[in-house]
Amino acid sequence: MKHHSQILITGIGSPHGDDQVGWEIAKQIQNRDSDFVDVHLARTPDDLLDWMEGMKQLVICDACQGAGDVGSYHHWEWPSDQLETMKWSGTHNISLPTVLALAEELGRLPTSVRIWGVEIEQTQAGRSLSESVEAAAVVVAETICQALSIPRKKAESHHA
Amino acid sequence: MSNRTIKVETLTRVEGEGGLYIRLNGEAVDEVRLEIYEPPRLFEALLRGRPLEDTPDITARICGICPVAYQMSSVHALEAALEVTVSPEVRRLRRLLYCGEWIESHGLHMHLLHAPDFLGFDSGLEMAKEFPDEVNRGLRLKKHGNQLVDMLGGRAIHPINVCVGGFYRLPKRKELQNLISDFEWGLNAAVETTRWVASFEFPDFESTDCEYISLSHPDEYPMNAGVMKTSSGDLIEVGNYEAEFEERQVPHSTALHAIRNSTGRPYLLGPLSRVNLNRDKLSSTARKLADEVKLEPLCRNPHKSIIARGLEIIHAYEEALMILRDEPPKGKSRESYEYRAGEGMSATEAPRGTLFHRYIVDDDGKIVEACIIPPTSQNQAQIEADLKQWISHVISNDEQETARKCENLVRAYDPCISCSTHFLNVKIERT
Repeated sequence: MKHHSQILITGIGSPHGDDQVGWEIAKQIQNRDSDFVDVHLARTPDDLLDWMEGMKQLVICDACQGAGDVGSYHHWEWPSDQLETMKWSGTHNISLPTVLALAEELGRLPTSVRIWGVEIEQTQAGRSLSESVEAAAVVVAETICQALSIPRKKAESHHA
Repeated sequence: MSNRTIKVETLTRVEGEGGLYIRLNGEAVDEVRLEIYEPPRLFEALLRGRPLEDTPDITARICGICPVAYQMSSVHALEAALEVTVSPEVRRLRRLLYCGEWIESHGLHMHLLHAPDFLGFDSGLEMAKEFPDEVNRGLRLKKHGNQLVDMLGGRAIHPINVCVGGFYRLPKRKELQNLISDFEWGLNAAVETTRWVASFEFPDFESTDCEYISLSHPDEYPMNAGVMKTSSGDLIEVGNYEAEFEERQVPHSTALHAIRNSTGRPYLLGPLSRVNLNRDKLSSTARKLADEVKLEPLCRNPHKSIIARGLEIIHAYEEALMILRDEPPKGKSRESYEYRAGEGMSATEAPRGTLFHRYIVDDDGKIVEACIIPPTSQNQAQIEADLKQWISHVISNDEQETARKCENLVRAYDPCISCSTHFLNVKIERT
């Protein structure tokens, strides 16, 4: 029986180049035992507002620029002043920090919000993830799973 | 008062990037420029030589807020070139898709982008502290619009299910019915929203010489078909669009300005024009609300565009509910066609106004020529004309306040600068 998860994992991104990294991390976590988490792929930060109701923990995975070398990964606890200074994109200026601040004002924000960002290089249509960004996605997904004690799928762990 | 320049460096709560420059000579306005410096996006050139089937998905990429309008104008124009007539069922579903886009776009603009101007907040975020219920309502309306576009278009942004001749896939009865209860709530919420915005205090301002233009159709509120109707009483066939409306390059904008050839004057497209010219075709609830809130028969106050958007959301919910409750579409999802050389054009009503597309195709089904005239670029000259008039109402020694009031007016038109070529900066100069 699937128990009701109170952990929301969201990957924000698009199918273009390194912008896929948020989705890639979320998909790797989704491939674990999905009873433990709700995983959603978002195209814009405001998608998150629809999924937060009843959640206690929110983990956001996204591409970022301006935080370090390409392929480096970073995490922040919300609220963080650092987030405002980085480049996050959003329709009609609804950036990720704005969406989180709005959710907080509206009482929708889970108690714990952790944001993971992977520094990206290119977002060209048709391009796949850069090598260093893809490698970072694997490490970030594993780190999130360990921190939240998300087990591997039973069959997978049986053969391992 | 000395001569001066006022420049708003970043106009917020508009889609895209641009600037506003105002030069004053004492109390007189010397020059107003809506500066759009976003690089040209060259979609028309991008389409040349490509299979015509690529056009709806490529043109949808012009805008993340109104992709449906771009898809619709393109498929209708291509269907005209190929002499394809779609079934009435497909036509209804296309209107349903439009309803989704209008609900999403208007819902967001009214609650999070425009309402803060009337209530004295710098942003929707600031407003959420004191008006959480209204902001939550706006977000829910936006979500309904996205859900509808997602269901019918395959995804909420840049839908992929629209094709020349119809749809790749028709929705199932259950998919349509699943939305009904949310849309019933939404209709009531749209009525509440319209009453709420109509209660705002509106500046006493009229755009005296503005000519309002929109599509008009004898049987329906204009979305995807009709002739161009003007507030001066003219009717213009869509086939004469380029003869009647002339695009002009101006040095301060990468988007082309437009004027009416016959008058040499700017004109306004969008919700206020549509309601002004087609009020009798609004849904019954929207018509009653227009009377209840005492919207003038020909409203010339651009700040009241927010009321027109409210009426259009009500209409969109009501029409959407009618289609959702109806028998689900049967039969083939799209008409087949043979390639033939030809030319076709179409105008449809994007949330921000009339969007014109024209294509020439060859015998091999390739695009030879494309022409796309978006609503925001057509509105630019009228926005500048209105600003010139508005400044005399709001000018003061407090340049920040003057600039803020100018931004308020620009936001009333909900310009989508990304479509027309992205930020807006305002600069006022006194010489």
